[in-house]
Amino acid sequence: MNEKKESNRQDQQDDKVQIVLTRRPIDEPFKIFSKHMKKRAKTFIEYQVPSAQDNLKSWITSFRGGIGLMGLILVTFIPLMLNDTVYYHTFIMAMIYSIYAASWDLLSGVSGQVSFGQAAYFGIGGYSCAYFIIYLGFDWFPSIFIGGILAILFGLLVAVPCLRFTGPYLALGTLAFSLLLFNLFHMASLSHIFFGEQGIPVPTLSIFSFKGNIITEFLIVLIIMIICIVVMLAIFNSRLGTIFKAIRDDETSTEAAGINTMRYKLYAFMISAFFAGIAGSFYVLHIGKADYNIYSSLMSFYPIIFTLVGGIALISGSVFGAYFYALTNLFLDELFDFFTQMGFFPEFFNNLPTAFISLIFSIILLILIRFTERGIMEPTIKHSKTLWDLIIGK
Amino acid sequence: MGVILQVKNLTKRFGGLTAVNDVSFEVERGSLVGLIGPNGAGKTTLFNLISGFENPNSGSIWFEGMNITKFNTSKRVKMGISRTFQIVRPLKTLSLLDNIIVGCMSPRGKKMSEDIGINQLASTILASVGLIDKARIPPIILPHGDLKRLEFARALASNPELLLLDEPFSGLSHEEQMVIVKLIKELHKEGHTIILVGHVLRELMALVPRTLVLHQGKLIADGAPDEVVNKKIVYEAYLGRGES
Repeated sequence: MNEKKESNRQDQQDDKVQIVLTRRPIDEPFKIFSKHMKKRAKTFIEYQVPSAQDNLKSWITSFRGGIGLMGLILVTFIPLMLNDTVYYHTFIMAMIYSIYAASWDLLSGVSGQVSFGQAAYFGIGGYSCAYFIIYLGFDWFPSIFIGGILAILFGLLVAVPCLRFTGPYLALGTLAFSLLLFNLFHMASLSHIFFGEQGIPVPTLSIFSFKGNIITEFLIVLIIMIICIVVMLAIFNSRLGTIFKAIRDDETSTEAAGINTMRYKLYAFMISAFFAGIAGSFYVLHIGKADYNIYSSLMSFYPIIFTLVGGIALISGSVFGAYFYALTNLFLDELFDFFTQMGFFPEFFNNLPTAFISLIFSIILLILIRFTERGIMEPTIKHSKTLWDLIIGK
Repeated sequence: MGVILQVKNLTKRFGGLTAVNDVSFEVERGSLVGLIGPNGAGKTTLFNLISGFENPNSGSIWFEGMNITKFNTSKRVKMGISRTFQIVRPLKTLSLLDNIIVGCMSPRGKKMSEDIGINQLASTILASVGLIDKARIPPIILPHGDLKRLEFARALASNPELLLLDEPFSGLSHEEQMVIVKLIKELHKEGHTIILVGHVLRELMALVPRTLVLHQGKLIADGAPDEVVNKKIVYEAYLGRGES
């Protein structure tokens, strides 16, 4: 450090000006703090910041923790008890969308880098996974992680140019990348490199698992989803998460505090892309092929919709929103089947195009946005707590 | 002692307006300097230039012998320059403690916390400005005086050599100002270099041994407060709201 100073030192023409090389030790806290440190025993017991274990314990014993754990038990055992392919399919899609939506939330809700092109990483993950399984003969398990890792690389590729901008321009830049991929993977003329219209057909995951059925796929996706969400929650609650939130709140102020915000924004992109890629890999393995529609703008908007419905910048809100979408779709499907069976306007309900359910869901979405400010998960929890307090007699 | 900061012929223009006009001065290590001037004189722009939030049109800035003119903000913070903002910029969704922890996660802050841990260092910094009992509260609901103290504490979290305080007294009651004055005096005694921008002249002039006066981007006076105040040119630039 001293040598560096010597070489950077300006030429001195003025004898009176000297540059002193001695400085205060960099690791010594200010002396004004020392008198507070002397009260250490009192200070630090009083102002003790709770540890991660304490936080976890208090969460588990709280109402929210109870609801969360109960939710986990429900989404695990309800499909197992109902034991029908339709329900397994719905819950598997809900879990894949949960990971995908949470990945978007971590980048856009928590770190403030709004991305309209999340499908890019979702799709790169899916295509990479499919490629490694079909063309390179890898097993499904490593291929999923390779999908995640290649998604990270693409995330960096997107982030480096796009992070020069903020706000709507960043969003448009990310959208541009996903649309670029959409076209590249669609073009017939490039189909010798990018697979074109056919994409990559893949045997579904239920074939890879050792039991060869959808139950095993359900359990595998469930375990991976729990791991992914727990990791994202851990990041959210960690100091890294604090820095992400700081960048979201006021990037200039965070920069002034000495944080290299560009580096942390890149981290946010990389982590988000990884989980989106994992979700994309499972998506491809579930539907049985990787095709260019995975890069569509609708696919980019799904995580945004799910997260906004559930509650932004919470991670758990994205999971809630994804399940809400999948279960609402299932419910509407069952409802229309029921109407058909009951004989209500059978010509109408029997011949509904599948887009009709999307239409209904869009209307539900509009109503939700109109009447809830920050998603439906928080009000749901609050009202449940009120109800619970009423029941237990508070 | 030695010179810690040299500003040479610094000029910054915004379109047709020259906010900082060929300003040059030196600051010795460990000194306490006041920067005053009427509204629009260019004081905050000068701070922005020194701390890296703006790039000058011409001129250079030297810190501890190194030319930092091309360095970006976080690199300058890493070298030891820290600043507060005139209009406070707390991190709204984080608690006060988290606000300080963010600063402690900077490279210098991490080094400072190696022994005692980031949580304890952040608690100590909050305690030293008197905000520890509000550590878990987010800044949204706090009064302006507390936010000003938080701003001060956040600047300290990166363990700066040079502290640039932009209007640390504005909007504070007399008692609150006294708290900040006391902190500045303690830091000065410990050997830190501090440049203060102020409008509350009675406090500032009593506190600082040296004053720089800016008017329409130009440095028009540099010296002890009682000398500077008596200069005609400074009087004519009508020093803020206080009696001169």
